Amino acid sequence: MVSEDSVVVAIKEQISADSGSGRELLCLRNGQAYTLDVVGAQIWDFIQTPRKIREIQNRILEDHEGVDPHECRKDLLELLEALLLAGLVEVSPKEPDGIS
Amino acid sequence: MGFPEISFAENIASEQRILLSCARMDNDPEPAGQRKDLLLGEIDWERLLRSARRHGLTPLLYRQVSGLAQGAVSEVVSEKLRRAHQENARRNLFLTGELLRIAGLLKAAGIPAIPLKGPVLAASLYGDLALREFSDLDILIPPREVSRAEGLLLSRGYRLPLGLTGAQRAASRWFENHHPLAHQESGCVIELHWDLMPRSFHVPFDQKGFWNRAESFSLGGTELRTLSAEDTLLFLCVHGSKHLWERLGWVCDVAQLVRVRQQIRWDLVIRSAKETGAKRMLFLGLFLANDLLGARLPERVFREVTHDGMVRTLAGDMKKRFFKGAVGPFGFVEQLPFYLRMMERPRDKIRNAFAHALILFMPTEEERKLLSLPDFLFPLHFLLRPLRLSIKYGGKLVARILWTKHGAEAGI
Repeated sequence: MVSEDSVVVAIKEQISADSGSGRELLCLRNGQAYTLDVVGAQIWDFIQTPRKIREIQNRILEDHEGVDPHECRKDLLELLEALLLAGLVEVSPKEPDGIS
Repeated sequence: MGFPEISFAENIASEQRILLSCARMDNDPEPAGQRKDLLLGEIDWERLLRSARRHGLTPLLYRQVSGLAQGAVSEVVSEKLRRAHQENARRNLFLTGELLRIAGLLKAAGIPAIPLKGPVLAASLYGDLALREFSDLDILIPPREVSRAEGLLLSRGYRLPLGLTGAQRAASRWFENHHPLAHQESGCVIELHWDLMPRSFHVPFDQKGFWNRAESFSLGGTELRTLSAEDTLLFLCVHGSKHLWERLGWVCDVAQLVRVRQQIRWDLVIRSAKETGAKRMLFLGLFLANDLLGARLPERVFREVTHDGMVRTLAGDMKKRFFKGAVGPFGFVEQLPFYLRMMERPRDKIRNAFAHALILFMPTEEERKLLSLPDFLFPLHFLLRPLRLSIKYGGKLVARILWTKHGAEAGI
């Protein structure tokens, strides 16, 4: 289960491409393709390096004015759970070295 | 050091002008402003979309159109472009996934491989796999490994072109530089190259040097070998010249390489081009990239590129064809005079004139479909092709003469 203090990072064995309305992903571990919408694509680009969940949430709130923080947190956790289930991200409870 | 740019003032259609502008991936505010004005002006969108497809530039056109305010372009056009972009993104992801899988298999089998063009150029020069179009995968392998690599692909569901007998395959191996293998289920096509150019456009590349200078490039967590920046530049310029630069997308690759790889060792690439007899082809590619797409060359390189009058003449011919909105590739007869002018050394001109003429005799899939002879009668294939071509084109010629005569008599 992920929490706000968890650190998320996209796995290396994937490739992605801009789809015009988000991002198309291909997981090279299982050969499955996935589609992300525009906001999902922004989050995806952001987690190409390890990020704390709180940091991701703050970034979305900065980029999208008027978004309710509770809704944002709920949607973000849902997306990350789905990405985790698909094996596209790795989540660690603690900060790795060098991440602030 | 200055970065001069050749200016051109041809009177060209706005659709062509837009394509040129979209193919410029620099961040100069002035061209960006001009591009926006052009996109918001009077445009024949059907013609523009067709032209973008032909030049392999739909993704770059989409990139610029999607940056315009909502409603600036009709919903139909914008949706058409978005769909084309998405399809391209999906196809490219699939092909890239396949390239990485095959690269892994070749590596595990101890077969050295260098992917050419395709996914590696898209990722390294354009920064996104969706921004460059490609429809198959080109992989260079050492000639001694062709049979093993083919065997490996055949065991993974790929198939060679239909009905190649042993003798036909040997002839094809001598004359061509690659075999296409298509996957039975997915339709993915891999072109397995053992040489960078076919015999009909022979350029004696220093292949050993290419392998020795190969660099590493990481994609999707996989380390691939790629040509060095200098060898990529030379290869792209020779490849574009072979196809007489009929697609603007190929000029765009050269312009992007010059823009992105700023540490190019120019002395090395020019020396390598001279030794290969491909200096004029290198300069032609650089001239077009500078002239059409604003790629900035170091002053001394620019001076050398523009010093050769033949480069300017050839570039003028290519540009004229582009500005006229010409459709389709150059024909066999049209190609040769260009090829001969692109080559500087008499020995290359003679060798290529003969090799080019061989196209008239080397059996192709068309002849194989018509009549597949057993290997002991293989030499007859060399007669079959000129015979088929005579019937095909001779018939057309006779029909044209008869029609002209009849038309003249009827006063048409």
